[in-house]
Amino acid sequence: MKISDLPTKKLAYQLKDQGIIINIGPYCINLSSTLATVAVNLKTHYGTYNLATKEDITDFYINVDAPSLSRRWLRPQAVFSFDGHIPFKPLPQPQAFAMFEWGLNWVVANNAHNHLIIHSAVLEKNGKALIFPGSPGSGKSTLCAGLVTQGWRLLSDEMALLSLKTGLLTPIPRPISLKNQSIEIIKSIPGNFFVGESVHDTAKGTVAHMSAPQNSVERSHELAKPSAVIFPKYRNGAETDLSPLSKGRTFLALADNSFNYHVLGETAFSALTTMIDQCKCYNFTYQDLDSAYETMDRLIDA
Amino acid sequence: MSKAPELDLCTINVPVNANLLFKYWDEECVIYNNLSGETHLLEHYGAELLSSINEQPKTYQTLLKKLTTDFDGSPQAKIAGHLENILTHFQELNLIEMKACD
Repeated sequence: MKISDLPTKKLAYQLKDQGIIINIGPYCINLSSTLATVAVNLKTHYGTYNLATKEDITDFYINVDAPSLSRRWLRPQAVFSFDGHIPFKPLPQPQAFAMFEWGLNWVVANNAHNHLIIHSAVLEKNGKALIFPGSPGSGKSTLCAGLVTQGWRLLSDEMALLSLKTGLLTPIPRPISLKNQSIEIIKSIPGNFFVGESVHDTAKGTVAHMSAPQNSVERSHELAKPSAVIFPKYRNGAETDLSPLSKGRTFLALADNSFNYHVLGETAFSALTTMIDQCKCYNFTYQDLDSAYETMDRLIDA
Repeated sequence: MSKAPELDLCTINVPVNANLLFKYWDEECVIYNNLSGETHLLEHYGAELLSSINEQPKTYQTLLKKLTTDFDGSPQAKIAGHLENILTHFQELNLIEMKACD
C-alpha cells in the first residue's frame, strides 16, 4: 500500500495517532505529527512510497510537532524529535516539512553505520552511478535535479550510502531540496516532474522540494555500481569543464565529505579505496545545464 | 631547517600499536593511521619510505643510506636536509616516533 492510497483525512489521523511507517530506501521510518502541513507535504512528496508491512522493523521514530500550547498560536513553531530526543531548535511552522527532511538527513547520517555515508548526490543511468559530492552552494542539487528531469535515476540528492558489505550504492531517493535561484531554474525545465511550494526565510534561504520520480522510488531496492566521482561547481559565466582529479585527492575530499568516516575507521578506508579503484574522478565546472547533461551523457557512454 | 644534533643517532619507528594502511594510486598514496583516525596523502616516495619504517624500525643512518642510493649524484647535504624534512613531517602527523639510540 502506498501513501497516496490513504485519503488525506485518514493519513492526517494516522499521523496524529500512532504515526505512519514509511519505507524510504533501506529504512522504515515511523513519522508522527499533528501538523497539517506535514500531512499535506507527505502526501505530495511521498505519495509513491510504500507503507511498511507488519513484517518490517521500524528503524527510526520521528515526530514533528508544535512545541507547546502557547506556540501553537503565537508565531507557531515546529519541533523535530528523534526517538524522543530533540536535536534541533524549533523552526517556524511553515518550515515543518523542510525540517522533517533536514532532520531525517541528520538521523540517517548519525545512525546508519552499516554504510559509509558521503554528503553527495547520486544518480544512475545505464547501470552506472555517478557520485556528486558537494558543499552548500556548489550547485550539486541543481545539477542533480536537472539530470533527474532528463531521465536519470535518483538514488539520493543528499547522501551516498556505500554498502560496507557489497561496495554498491544503496538508493535512498527522497525529495530534492532546491534553494533560491535553483528553484526557478528547475521549474522552467519542461517535463513531468513536480516542485512543491517555496518556503521563505529558512536558514538556507528560500527552499522548495522537488519530488523524487516514481520510477526512482520503485527501484529503491536496486543497488548501483559506483562509476565516477564528480565534484560539481556552479560558476556564473563558466564554460563547461570536466577535468580529471587524482584518486588520492578524491579520497581525501570524499573522506572530508563523509558523515561517518571517522566512526568507521579502517572499514571506511577499505570501502572507500575499493570504490575509488573502480571510479573515474573529476572536477566539474558548469553554468549551462544543457551542456552539463551532454557532458554527463558522454561520460556514461564512454 | 637545522638538523637536530641527535637525529643521526636516532631509531625511527611507527608508534606502538599503530596499524598504518597504505593505498597507492600512481604517484600518490593515502595512509590511514588507526591511532589518530586521520588519513594523509603522501607522494609515492615518501609513502614507500614510511612503509619501510612500518615494516621494521630504521636508524637514521640506514634511511640516509637509502636516500643516497635512490638520489645518486645529489649532494649529501641536500639529501640529508630532504630526509630531515620528511621525518619532521611524519613526526608532526604522528606517523613516526624518533628515539635516541642507546
